[in-house]
Amino acid sequence: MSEPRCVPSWLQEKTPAVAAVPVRKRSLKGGFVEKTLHAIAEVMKNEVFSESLASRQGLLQGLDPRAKLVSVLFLIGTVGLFHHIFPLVLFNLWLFWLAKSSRVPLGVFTKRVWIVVPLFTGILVLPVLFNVVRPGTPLLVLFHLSRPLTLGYWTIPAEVAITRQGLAAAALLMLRVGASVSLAVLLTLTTRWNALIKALGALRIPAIFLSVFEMTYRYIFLLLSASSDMFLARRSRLVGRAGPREERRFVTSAMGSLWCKTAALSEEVHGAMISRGYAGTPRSMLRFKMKLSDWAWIILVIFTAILFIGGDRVLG
Amino acid sequence: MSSVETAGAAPVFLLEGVTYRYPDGEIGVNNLDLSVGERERIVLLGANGSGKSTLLRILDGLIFPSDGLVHTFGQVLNEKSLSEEVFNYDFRRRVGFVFQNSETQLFSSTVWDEIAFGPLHMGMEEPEIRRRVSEVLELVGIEAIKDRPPFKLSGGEKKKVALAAVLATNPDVLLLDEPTAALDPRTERWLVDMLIQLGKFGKTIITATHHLDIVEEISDRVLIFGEDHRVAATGPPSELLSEKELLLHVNLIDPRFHKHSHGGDHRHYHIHD
Repeated sequence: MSEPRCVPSWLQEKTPAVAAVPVRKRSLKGGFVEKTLHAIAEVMKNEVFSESLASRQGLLQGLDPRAKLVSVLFLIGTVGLFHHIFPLVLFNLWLFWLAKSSRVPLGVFTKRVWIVVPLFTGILVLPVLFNVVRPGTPLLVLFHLSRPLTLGYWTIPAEVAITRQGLAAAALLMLRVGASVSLAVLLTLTTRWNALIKALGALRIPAIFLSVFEMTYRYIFLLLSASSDMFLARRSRLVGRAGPREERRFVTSAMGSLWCKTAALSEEVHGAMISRGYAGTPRSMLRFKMKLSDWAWIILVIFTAILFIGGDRVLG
Repeated sequence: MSSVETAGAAPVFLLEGVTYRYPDGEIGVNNLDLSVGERERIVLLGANGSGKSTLLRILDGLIFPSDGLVHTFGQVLNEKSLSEEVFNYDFRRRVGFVFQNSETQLFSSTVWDEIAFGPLHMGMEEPEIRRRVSEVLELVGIEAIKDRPPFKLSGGEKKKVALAAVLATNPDVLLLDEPTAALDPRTERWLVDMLIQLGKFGKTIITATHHLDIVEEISDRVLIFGEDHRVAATGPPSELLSEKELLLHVNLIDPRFHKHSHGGDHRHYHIHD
């Protein structure tokens, strides 16, 4: 080994400051690389946020993950039994109370449930609102046609309107989906991912699936961090802004590089597992213990479900 | 190396003419003869890519020689012997490997699960696993992070967890690949002290490193690999580290590199302009 012998003269000179950018003057914001970096940072931020919520002292956080998982599945099943809107609204309010008791910020909870649900379920149930799809009592007439139109088996009435029955059916479905999503959001926000996976083991899900889930989750973050480093390294070396073609080329090569890293990593991880006695059958140990409060929670959930469904049946 | 290097005690590993070729034909280890005695502390020194990590993987039965034989605990170490349940169990229990990249080794979702992985897969009873995990957490000083996911730990914490995960199975032989790489001086000191302590408990410790400062503390014998993937020299650390020509020849040091002694046992190596 010897010291570098011939340092080129340009490397010995100080880089002068430029008065004007010698490339096209365009905003550096909004490029694909920036957007990807932003998206990766958002995923990481969400993970840190979920982790901090799961470790707060709250009603749901204090429960055994198995009790929580089973009760959430039971309540999601119960949601499907509601026939009326009013008890379902009350049930959703009860879920808001659960969120508040578990110290989940109501803004976050509402955003995750009641922005996503109308967006996706709303699109699905939109046609049901109109008498074009489902006949019913008109609530709001949208427009009139000169006469009913018949297209094969399908008839469009002369008066196209939003119906009472259609609106009720759509609201019922949205509230059911909203309640189910709320339960799933509450479960995932108040339970650490690893505890949730272990709780799935209590439902006799094969250990091999749980191992794969566990490791996928673990390595998603490692690979996200590797991608982020790759994108940051590119940003640090990029003077000005690359064109779309160059960005596409970078993204494809980054994907290839990440794929090779993943393959090498999986081999290494497998080696590390074998080295510590793994012989093809994953084993897992549950570290949970059901407390009196967990049993009390299960009784409360059953009682609540009976109360709501009973009320629903009283309405007819 | 033409003759078998023999240590005093009964050999834990005996390598005869071991050569390893990668799938593309490139040589990883070239015609190596080596005997590792029980309780021996060996350091593998060499430039990047000289074959140290490959040798550790061979010793851990993760890859197998293209030519030559590896004997361990009275058996030949190969795919066939490791497919036997009893030998596999015994070998994995007795040999622990701390990987260079801690990310590779920390695949469980919490530190506790990571440390429990080895004992669990070796079929220990649950109360024993709990006891071991708790004691290892205390020994390594990482009780406070036992419920945290390993990917959120610092580099030093990851290394501590990786070592704790291997120690939990109480291996007789410890293989360590660049254990001090990317550690801060305090964590590095902690690790060296831990290796010294483990050596006193009678563990056989084989460490691949570039870090010349720690070699004399953690080894009784040094193997220096040349860039031809052969062992260029072997002997006591104090002797070999004084042979500047040899270290230059294997491209391990720079001509300006030299040793300082500040009295007592401490010596360190650095560059002067």
